[in-house]
Amino acid sequence: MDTREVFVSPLTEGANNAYDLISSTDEPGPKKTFEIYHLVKRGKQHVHVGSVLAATPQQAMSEAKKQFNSGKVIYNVWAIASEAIRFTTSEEKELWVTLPDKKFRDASDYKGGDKLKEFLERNQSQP
Amino acid sequence: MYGGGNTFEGIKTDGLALEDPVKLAEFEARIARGEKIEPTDWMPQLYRKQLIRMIEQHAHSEIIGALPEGTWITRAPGFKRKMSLMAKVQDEVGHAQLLYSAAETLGKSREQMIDDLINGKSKYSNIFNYPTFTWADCCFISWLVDAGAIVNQLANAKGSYGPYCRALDRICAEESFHLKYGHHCVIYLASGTATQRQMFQEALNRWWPPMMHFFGPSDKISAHTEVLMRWKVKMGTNDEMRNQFLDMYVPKIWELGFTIPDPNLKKNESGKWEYTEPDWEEFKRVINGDGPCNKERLEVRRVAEARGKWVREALKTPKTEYVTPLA
Amino acid sequence: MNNLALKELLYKLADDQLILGHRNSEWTGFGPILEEDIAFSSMAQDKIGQSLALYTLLQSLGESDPDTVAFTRNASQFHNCILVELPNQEYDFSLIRHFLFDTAEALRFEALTNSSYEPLSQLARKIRGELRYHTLHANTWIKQLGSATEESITRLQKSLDIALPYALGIFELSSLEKELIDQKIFIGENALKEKWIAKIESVLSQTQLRLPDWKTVTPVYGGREGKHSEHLQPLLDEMSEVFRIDPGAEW
Repeated sequence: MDTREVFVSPLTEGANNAYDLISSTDEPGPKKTFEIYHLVKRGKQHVHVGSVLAATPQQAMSEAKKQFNSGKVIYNVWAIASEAIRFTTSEEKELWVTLPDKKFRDASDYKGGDKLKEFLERNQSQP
Repeated sequence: MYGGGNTFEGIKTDGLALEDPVKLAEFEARIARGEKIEPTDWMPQLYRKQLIRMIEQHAHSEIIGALPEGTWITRAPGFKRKMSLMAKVQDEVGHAQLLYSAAETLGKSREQMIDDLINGKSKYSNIFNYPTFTWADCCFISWLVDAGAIVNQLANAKGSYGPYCRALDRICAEESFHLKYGHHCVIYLASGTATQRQMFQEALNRWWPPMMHFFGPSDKISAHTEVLMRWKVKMGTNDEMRNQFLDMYVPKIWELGFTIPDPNLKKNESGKWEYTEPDWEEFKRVINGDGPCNKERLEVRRVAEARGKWVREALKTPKTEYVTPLA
Repeated sequence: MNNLALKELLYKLADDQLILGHRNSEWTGFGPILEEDIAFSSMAQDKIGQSLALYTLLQSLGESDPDTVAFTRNASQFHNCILVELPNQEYDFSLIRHFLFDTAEALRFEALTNSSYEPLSQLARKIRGELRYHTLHANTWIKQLGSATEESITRLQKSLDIALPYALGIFELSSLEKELIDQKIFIGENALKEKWIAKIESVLSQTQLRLPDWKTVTPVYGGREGKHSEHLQPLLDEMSEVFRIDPGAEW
């Protein structure tokens, strides 16, 4: 997918909800589906929340506000026409089945506490 | 991994008089209110120039910084260390990619930036001009150089330029496992055999001076850049960052029973760290190209770029159109 | 179940992944574009993780622990094919090797999902998913560079010609081949080779690269029984440089 296909809402900070900056619009014309993505934590990736029917990206934003704005702070909203996205096919599903052992990417995999404690105790017992 | 304000150069602010005063006032008011500046917003030329310079240096530091640790991937002792180190160094290269994209939003292409790295026009963190002789040197970088970088990056993440802040948020999140991994490695060396302990003590002796240089010249001698602080381009002085690092990590190094090679290092009554003044002449010399590994590091980059040229050319067919990074 | 034949198969699979993972990791910081540094590192992490999973399976069959097995054997005790131990050389050779080898690996683990040895078929289902990325990556790049500029096509063609005899060495037969097939542990190297040739031909036919008549390509064998090129021992020496300082120490 080309990044030009992404319609981006204003970006907010702190307690400001991006949805508060999106105005309601209603537009005529044939409707198509748009996929909606939320940024719920600054620095994290946008996450897919669902799809809406709309004639324009602006209207998709407005529809998303009606359907997905729970009042929880959302920092940024993306709307992308579904037709612009390449979806994985059912035969590509095995792409998601991988070795689970990628724990080394997680800080919790490096517990040195016991080793450190044992080392400190050993050192204390030596005069 | 980025070492913050690492040059002595002051900046020229005379161009500011040519900026539209109304727009400039509005821009400064936005920053004062804590708003982020986005790529399509109006900004003074000097702001754009300084940010490009800073983000570009940061990006270069990531790819050059991948070299001294990267050389230990093939030698890491055991599966666990090997997997972690591969993932960690890969992250650093990923950070470079992220940062080049952030800098590109300001109008300088990745190719131009990499050209300027190779021809010496733009700098990178000085610390990567030192060699990693042993596995323990690699562990020093993973733990303490990353720790220093995180101190800088957490501060800069509160800056004013949106794309850079978002890149830093992401980078800091990834660095949390790097730091844990590095500490884990050093705990194992500390509590291991006499040879292992000695390896780390020697690495510490070698790396302490460049680590002190890492945060940039002392506030007493570096050019003060009030306007960059006001614009939230620079978020703290070099000495403040250095002090924060010492405060967080000296106790942890001492806890492991290692000796930091500075007899004057101590925390005074006001909570500030005192230390022997780093050799700023050496720092200057190394920054200007005369360090132990400057030539080697740039040569590796130059060769990689030259050898990859045909690949980049072949990617342009059929003609791809340049798309601005999203955020 | 014949333990010897099974162990030999597992060693072969694990050693292939470990050694190519090692070579892939050498691209870190050195790729033609940053995206390729990152891609080769991801594949290295997958492959070394896969070798670890396979060595762990071997451990459950009574072999030594994975670190000892990987970091203390000599070249003559390794069963990888020679293709994976060759130096990276320029990007064209690394890419061609990646394409030729991972196409075979993807088909091999696909077949192993039906293995009568349950722990292996389970593992193969996970590894198959990861290898899908590797072949997706290889095919995308081969199709792009294999049809782009005169230089990219010439370079890839030259590397393809050099790599093919070694690639056929992937399918070197074992003396225990028949037992593996009879016991339905694995479909066997010859059956795998046929599938591989069909797949390679189909991808390359979408590029300007040309395959020679297979009859004219003489396979380079030896790796499966521990006869390696001069490149493997230095690789292993490097890999175990720190570990050997004190194999009893915890690092």
